[in-house]
Formats: sequence, C-alpha cells, structure tokens
Amino acid sequence: MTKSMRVAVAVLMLLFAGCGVFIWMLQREESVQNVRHFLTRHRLQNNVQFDSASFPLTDEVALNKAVLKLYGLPDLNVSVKKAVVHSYRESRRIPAFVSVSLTGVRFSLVEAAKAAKPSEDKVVSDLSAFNPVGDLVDHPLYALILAGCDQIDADVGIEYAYAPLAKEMRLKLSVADACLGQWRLDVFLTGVSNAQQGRLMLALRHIVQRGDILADLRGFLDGAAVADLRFSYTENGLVKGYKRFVDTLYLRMPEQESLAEISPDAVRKIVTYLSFSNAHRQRNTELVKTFARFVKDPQKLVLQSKARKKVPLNVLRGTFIRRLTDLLLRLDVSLTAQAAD
Amino acid sequence: MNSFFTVFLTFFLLSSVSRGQTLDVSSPSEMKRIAFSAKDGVEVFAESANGRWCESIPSLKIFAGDDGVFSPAALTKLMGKVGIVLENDCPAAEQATVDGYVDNSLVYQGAAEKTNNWKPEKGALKVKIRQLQIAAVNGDKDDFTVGEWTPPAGSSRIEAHIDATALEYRIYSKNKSCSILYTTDKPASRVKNWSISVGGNSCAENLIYGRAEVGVFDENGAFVETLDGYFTEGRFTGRKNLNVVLLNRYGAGRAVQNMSYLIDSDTELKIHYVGYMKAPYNPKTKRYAPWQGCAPFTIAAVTENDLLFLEPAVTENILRAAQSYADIFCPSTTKMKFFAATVPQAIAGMDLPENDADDNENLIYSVQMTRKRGEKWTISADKTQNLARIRESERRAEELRENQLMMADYNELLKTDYLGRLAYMAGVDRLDNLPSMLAAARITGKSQRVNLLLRVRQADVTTAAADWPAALLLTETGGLLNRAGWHLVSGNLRPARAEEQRKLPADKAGVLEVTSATPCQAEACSEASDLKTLIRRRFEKPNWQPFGEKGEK
Repeated sequence: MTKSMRVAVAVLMLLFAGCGVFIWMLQREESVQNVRHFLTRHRLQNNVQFDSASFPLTDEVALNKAVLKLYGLPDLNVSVKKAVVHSYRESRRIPAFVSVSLTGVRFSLVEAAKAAKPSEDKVVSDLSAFNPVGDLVDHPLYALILAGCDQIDADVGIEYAYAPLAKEMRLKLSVADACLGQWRLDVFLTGVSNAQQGRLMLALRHIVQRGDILADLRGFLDGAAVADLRFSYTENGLVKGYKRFVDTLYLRMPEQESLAEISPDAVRKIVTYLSFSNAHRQRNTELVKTFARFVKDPQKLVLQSKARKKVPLNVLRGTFIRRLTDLLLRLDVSLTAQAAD
Repeated sequence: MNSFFTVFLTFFLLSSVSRGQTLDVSSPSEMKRIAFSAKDGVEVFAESANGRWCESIPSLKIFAGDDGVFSPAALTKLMGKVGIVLENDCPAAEQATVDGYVDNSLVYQGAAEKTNNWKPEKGALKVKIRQLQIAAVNGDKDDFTVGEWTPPAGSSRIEAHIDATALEYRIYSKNKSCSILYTTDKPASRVKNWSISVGGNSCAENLIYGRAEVGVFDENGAFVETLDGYFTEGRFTGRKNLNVVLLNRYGAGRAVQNMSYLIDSDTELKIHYVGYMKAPYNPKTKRYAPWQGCAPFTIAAVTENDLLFLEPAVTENILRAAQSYADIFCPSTTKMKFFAATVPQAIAGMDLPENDADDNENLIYSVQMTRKRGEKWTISADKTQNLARIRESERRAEELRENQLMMADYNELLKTDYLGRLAYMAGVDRLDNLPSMLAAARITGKSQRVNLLLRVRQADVTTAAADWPAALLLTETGGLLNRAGWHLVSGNLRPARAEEQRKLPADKAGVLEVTSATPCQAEACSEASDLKTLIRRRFEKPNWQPFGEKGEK
C-alpha cells in the first residue's frame, strides 16, 4: 500500500469514527430524553432527579448522582450514587420483570426521624418510654438509631418478576450497609391478580407520590398466598449495638454479663406465645433457641420456609406480630444461625 | 381523858418515835418527818438541805388523807401543835412556810409566824417574798435557760434591764440625795431639767423605796403632780406596796409602759415565773397612772417545756402555784391572767395589747381565772387556750399523715424497679436512659432535661467525663461534682458539638450541662435497694419502721 492509500484509509477511518461518535451521541441524547420522558409520563420528574444517565449495555440504564424526594418525608434528602435498571420487560403493558440496583443510597436516620415532623413531646415520650421489644415494630426507626446507626450508605438490589397468566410473583430484595448489615429477602407469591400487582406498583409509586402505601399493600396482599420464603441477615453491628442499648436500659454494670440475652425463662415465654399459633412446642422451642443463640453471638441468621408449603395471607388474624408468627409457623420455617461468610 | 388529849398524846408519842426518819418525795431535796398522827392520817415533814432542816424559815409539808385538815379551824389547831414541836426542836424558827397535800396534790399554800402563835395565813405574803428575795439576791436561779433567756444576774443580785422603749427618766431632788424613775411622754431634753421634792422617806439608797410623798416639778419649777404612796426601786406604785425583783422595764408604744419582775424559778420543771406591771397612759390627764400589777394579776410561766401543758394534772399544779403567787403578791385580787410562753415578753394580752391576729408561736398556754373574795379561783373556759395541746394534736395529725405518706411510698417502692428507686432517692420523677434521651435531643434539635445515673471517670474544676452507661462530657460542674465515682446527675443533655466531639472517646456522644449532682455511697447507688433507709432519709425520720415490722435491735 502506497503512502497516499494509507492516508486515504486513515482519513476514512477518522470519518467513520467521527460518524460513529456522532451517532452514539445522538442515541445517547435520545435515550436520556427517553428516561426523562418516562419519568414525566409517570409524573416522577419532580421526585427523581439525576445528574447524568448512561447506558453501559443494551437495555441497561444507569442514573448517576440521583436524588429521591419521598412523599411522606419531603425534607429528607436521599441521594443515590448510581441507580441502574438492569432489565425492564413488560407483558401486555404489565411490568413482567424488573431488576434494579442502587449503589450508595445515602440518608440520615436522624434526619428521617426529623422529617416525619413529630411533636417534641411525642419524640421525648416515645423515646423515654421505649420498649426494647414492642417498639421494634412500633418505632423501628428509633430502634435503629438507638442501636447506633445513623448515616446509611447502602447498596440495594431489587428484583421483581410477575407472570400474569400464572398469577405468580417473585420479589427479591437485598440491602447491604456498614451498620445495618446484609439483608436478603426472597419471597414467592401465588394468587396475585393483575389488579393486585397494580396495587404493588401503586405502593411503589406512592413512596415518592401522594398516596397511602399501607392501603396499597393491604390490597396487594389480599387473596395472595406465600409459597416460598427465604430471609437472611448477616450482622455488621446492628444487633450488637441494640444489645448495648438494652444493656443501658437494664443498668448493666461494667464487667457484668449482657442483660440483653434471651434467658431460658424468656425462651419459655416466647415458646408459649408461639404455641398459640402452632402447638408444635418442640419445633417452636428449637426455633426460639436458635434465635437465642443468634442473639448471643450474632453472625448470620437464615430463615427458610419448607418446600411445597403455601399459606394464603387472608387467613392470618391479629396484630402484625401475631400474623407474622402465624405465617412463619404455617410455612414451617427452619431457622439457622450460621457463622458469617 | 377527853378526845383532844387522846389526839394530842397520840400525836406527840408518835412524833418522838418518828424523829430521825426521812422521806424522799418527788423533790430531790430530803424531807424529814417531824410529826405525824396515825389517827388523823396526817404527816408533817420539814424540807432539809444537806441534812439540816432547822432554819429561821423552815419549809413544812403537810400530807393528809382529806382536805378537811386544811380548813382554817383544823389547820390552826394542827399548826398550834406543830409550833410546839418547832419551838422544841428548832428554836431558831421564827416563821414557816406550809404546803398542804392531799393524795400528793398540792391543795394549800400558806405560812405561819411564831409571833402570831403559828396561826396559819393563806398565801403568807411577807414570808414568801422574803424567801424569793433571798433566792434572787443570792443568784440562786440554778442557771437554767429558756430559749437562751435567763433572768439577768449581776455580781450579787438580779439586774433590771431598762429598755430603750421605756419612756422613763430619773428625776432627782434639788440636792441630788433622792431620785425617782418617772414615766412620761414628755421629751427627754425637758425632763432632764425636772426635779422632785421628797417627804416622809429617808431615801437611803438614793432611789426612793417604800412610803413617800413626792412632788414633781418641771424645768420651769412649775408643779406637775404629787406622787403620794409607795415606791418600788424608785417607781411609784400608788397605794400598793409591791416588793418585787425587777427584771425588765420596757414599753409597748406610748399607750402602755411595762415592767416585769421575777417571782420564782422552778428548777425541777424548768420554769421561771414572771409577773407583769403596767402603767397605762391617761389621755385626759396626759400622765401615766401609777404602776399596777394586780388588776388583773398577770403572771407568766416562762418555759420551753410545753409538754407540761399536755398533762392536766401537771397543768393544774402549775396553776395552783400561780394562784399561790397571786395570794402572795396580790392577795385581794379577783382576776388573774396566766400565760405560759417560751419568752418573757412580747405576748399579746400579757404585756402587749390584746390582739386577734395569728397565734403567737411563743405562746404555749393562756388562761384567765376569777374568784370572789374568800373563794377558790375558777377558770374561764372561754378564755383558755392550750396551744401546746393544739400543736401536739396538729403534730400528731401531721405525724400520722406523714406516716401514711411514708407507708404509701414504701408500698409503692416495693413494686418499683431499681430505676424507680434511684429516682426516688434523687427526688426526681424518673431516671432517664442516656442513649434514648440523647436520641431525643438529636431528633428534636433541643437539649433535654435529664436525670442520669453516671459513673464519672474524672472530674476537673468545671468539667468531668463519664464512661458509664456511655461516654459523656459533663460541663458546668463547678461546686456540684468534684470527684470521680458514681453519681445521680441532673442537667440538660445535648449532642456534642464538633469541637467537643474531639474530647470524647466515642462518636455521637453527648454533653450534659450539670445542674445538680448527688454522689452515691455505694457502687451504682446500690443503697437505693434499702427501702427503709430511702424513706427515712426522704422524711428525715431515722427511726421509722414500716407498719407491722418489728423495730431494729
């Protein structure tokens, strides 16, 4: 090849590269417009803001430096370092599969408590009379703060799959934070109609938009059945921090054993409580003892429902704790306290 | 042998047997029986000191089975016989005081004189006053004080105190040999140039004593008035010859001028008996009336022992003593005002004008008594107030209420956890949890008032650091917290600022601005477990016991 030919090839390559970059830039601009259009179409443009968007792979959208405005806590600043929608598929205009990962979800628990705008008297009375067991359900945010967590910097993974014809839904959620530890929830639901699925979508939307999330969730679960459940928690200091708080409540003296362990007497009481849901005392005792072992040396706790067990949610009655207890015992769950990975 | 001689012989036969016998009655002084009659149930004792009972005025005590013995006729007969014994065994006796008892209660006080064939006289003014005067001049007051007050004593006699409130001036005769103490509301600058003329008195001690006729002249030599009557220590008492030991001369404003005098001191019951005289101002004459102390006879039992007035029998005996003093100082008086107080003056109705205002806390008891001539004193029930009993009732009611409160607290504490007991110990509503309240302070953005149990690791002049239940910086501790160890601390809790955070070992620690601190006696204030001690401390009742629990040995 002569010198002039080589120059011509180089010029052509440069032209092609320039055109490629130009086309990529046009596509990128179009995709960012598409994202904005998507947010506007769903009236989310004021609640989800982002610095830039990228498209590392086909069908994958990444929002960089996003900020979420939650409807219930408008003063709370939740920033997300990177939000990636790995996959999004629809079937008959119904979301059939969504896979999202959020990296660096940052907010302050104290700021979250402040953003709820409770009265000063209510905050003081709730905290000064904090019940270390009952208030785990009633005031979970306070429980986390009292356990020593404040600045959350978590990585969150969400996977959603729905088969409209089979009326089956699988939800996977994972959270990993330096203080909160690692939480993984994997639940398989059956009997979820399109309308119920719509209530879940509504609940998700109502995180950032006006609406009653609890009513949405009640509607979502009505008529559904849990067919498989797996939950795991890996300790990063949350349980230990909460135990430290409980020790201060019961005036644990220096050099004294922790008072936050589940004593044999407490085991008996919890077994009795469980036995109102299911009379299998031996199994119940094993569950509670396993949980007590985990509390004593918190590392990893795994909860797994028995195969082929299915529990319709509308048969559950009573308080939230009683319903949860009923659900777990009807699913014949096994509980395992493991060493951390 | 007629009955008189039978009694007489019986009396004296037995009296000789009784010689040398002594009786120790309630008084610490010894009593010697000098005569008795088994038939009449009468015993006569002489009070003796250091084994001697024979003095110029022996004190006799007659114990009888019934008060018929002290009727004038029976007593005259009895004293005639006792006089014979006295003349035989104690030739020095010229006079004798007589106290009569029935069933150990004083029913009669009187005296008898040899010159009058030992005929008893009720009251016996001269004898008793002489005894009192001797005791007073000898300073025989046995040094007991009432509310840090004791009759003022000089080197050899009681010294009268002339208060600045007394409108009293000493006015001399022209030759300065005689003087009187004159009460007037005229200015001192004028009165100092006044003078007197004296008639019928030797004026042996410069101040006029006893009977005299004194003319008073002003600074211009003009006649003011004539004082014709008796004088006591230079003070004009009108037609009344009062022989008293003056304690205090003072005034209650222009309207009333006062004088108090010592009557007697009862060392056993710790009572000073004090009498009062007044010189009221007459607006018409613009002069003060002569000193008067018998209309009514006003007497005060100055004592701190208000328990005396809770026992009716003791009160009765004290009133009898007051009645006997009335017989001594004012035998013809028909009205008496008796007060028991913790102070010798400034009691409404006693030396101050009557006052319907609040009760004087110094007053213990007051009563008015009246009598007709020759009859016994009767108490005016509507003019009697026993504040000692009222206060005792109030005290008992308060004690009962306090005891109920203590039992209520005790029963409550039995059901309370350790934190509740600590709160009770610190005197606060509740004891707080440090992490909870720090979270509250962070969420509300305001400091929170807290009460905490803390272990202080180190304490400087104005700051300290606690390491339990969590790291905490304590500020403004000056004068409140100055040593390491366990404390119950109150103050305002807030999150640490950035510059304060550097001083703390842990993140998210707090700062407590201390307002009060109580050091614990034991580790973690474990003394709070002792409920009885907690309640005893709170109510300052060191011997309190819960109801139904036996006392500590």
